Amino acid sequence: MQTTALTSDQLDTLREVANIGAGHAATALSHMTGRHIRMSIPLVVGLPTDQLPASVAEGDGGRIVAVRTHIRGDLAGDTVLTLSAANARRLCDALLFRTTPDGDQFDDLERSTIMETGNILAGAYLNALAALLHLVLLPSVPELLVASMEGYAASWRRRTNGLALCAATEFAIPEESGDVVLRGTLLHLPDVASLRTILDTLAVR
Amino acid sequence: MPSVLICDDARFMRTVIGQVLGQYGFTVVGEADSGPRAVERYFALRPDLVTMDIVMPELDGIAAIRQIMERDPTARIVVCTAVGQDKHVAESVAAGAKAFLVKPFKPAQLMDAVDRALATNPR
Repeated sequence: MQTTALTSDQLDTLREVANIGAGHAATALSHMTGRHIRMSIPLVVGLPTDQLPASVAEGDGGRIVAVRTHIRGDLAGDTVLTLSAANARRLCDALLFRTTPDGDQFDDLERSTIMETGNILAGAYLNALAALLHLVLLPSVPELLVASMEGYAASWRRRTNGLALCAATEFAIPEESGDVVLRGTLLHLPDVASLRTILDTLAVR
Repeated sequence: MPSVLICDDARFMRTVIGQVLGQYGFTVVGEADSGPRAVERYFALRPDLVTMDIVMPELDGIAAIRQIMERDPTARIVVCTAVGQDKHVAESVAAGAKAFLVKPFKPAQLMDAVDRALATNPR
C-alpha cells in the first residue's frame, strides 16, 4: 500500500484514529504535568521517510531528543515522541519540580524521565487504539535517542524502512499569557500491513 | 511500617512511587529495573508489598508476578503500568496481582490500589 494511493476517506479515518489516540496521550501528559495540554489536529502524511524528521522536529538548531517504542501485538510499527533538547529540558523541570539551565546533556534521572514520558504517552495512545479497534497492542521498552538533527535523520532512515505513513500530533503546554512553554510531537508509524489492518477493521475501503 | 519493593525499568517512576509511598509511611526496601531482578529482589527481601511495571527488559512484569506467586502465593502485588488494555488487566489478575493501576496516576489512586492489595492475605 502506497500512501499516495489512500483515498480521502481512508486518510480521514486514519486522522481520526490518530486523534483519538493522541487525545488519550494528551490527557496522560496533562495528568503528569498538572497543566492544560493543547493538541493539534493530527497531521497524517505520506512522505519520503528522509523528509520526515525535518517536517516534525522543531527546527531550533539544537539537538533532538526522541523516545521510540516499538508496537507489538496485533499491529506493528513505532511510536516516537520527539522534542527539541530545550523542550526536553523543560519537560524534566516540570516533572522533577525544579529549574535548570538550558543544555543538551541529560543525566540518568533526566533520561529516565524523558523515556518514561514517551512510554506513558505511547501506552495511552495504544490503549485508545486497542479499545477502538478491538485489538491487543503493547509498547516495547522505550529507546532514547539524543542526537543532532543529522544524527536523528540518519537514525530515522535506518529504522523506518518500509514505513509509508506518519500520524503526527503536536502537543503544547501554553502559559496563561499564551506563550508555549513546552512543545513536542508524537508520531505513529504503522507498517504497511498494520495500516491495512486498521482500515479493514474499521471497514474503510 | 510496611515494606515495599518497587519494580519499574524507569528510574523516574521508581522515584515517584517511592516518594508517594514514603509519604504514607512505607519503607522502600528495594528497587528492581527488570523482571528477573524483581523476582530475585522479592525473595531476598520478602517485602509486604510490590509495585510491578509490565513492560520491562528481559522478563515482563506479568511473567515476574507468575514466578513470584508460584513460590509465594501470599505476595501482594500492585501492577503500575502504562498499558491498561483488558487483556493486560486480565492476565495480571490471573497471574496473581491484587490491584491494577494505569500510569499516570495520582497519589490517592496509588494509595487506593495499595490499600486494596494490603487488604488481601493479611499478615
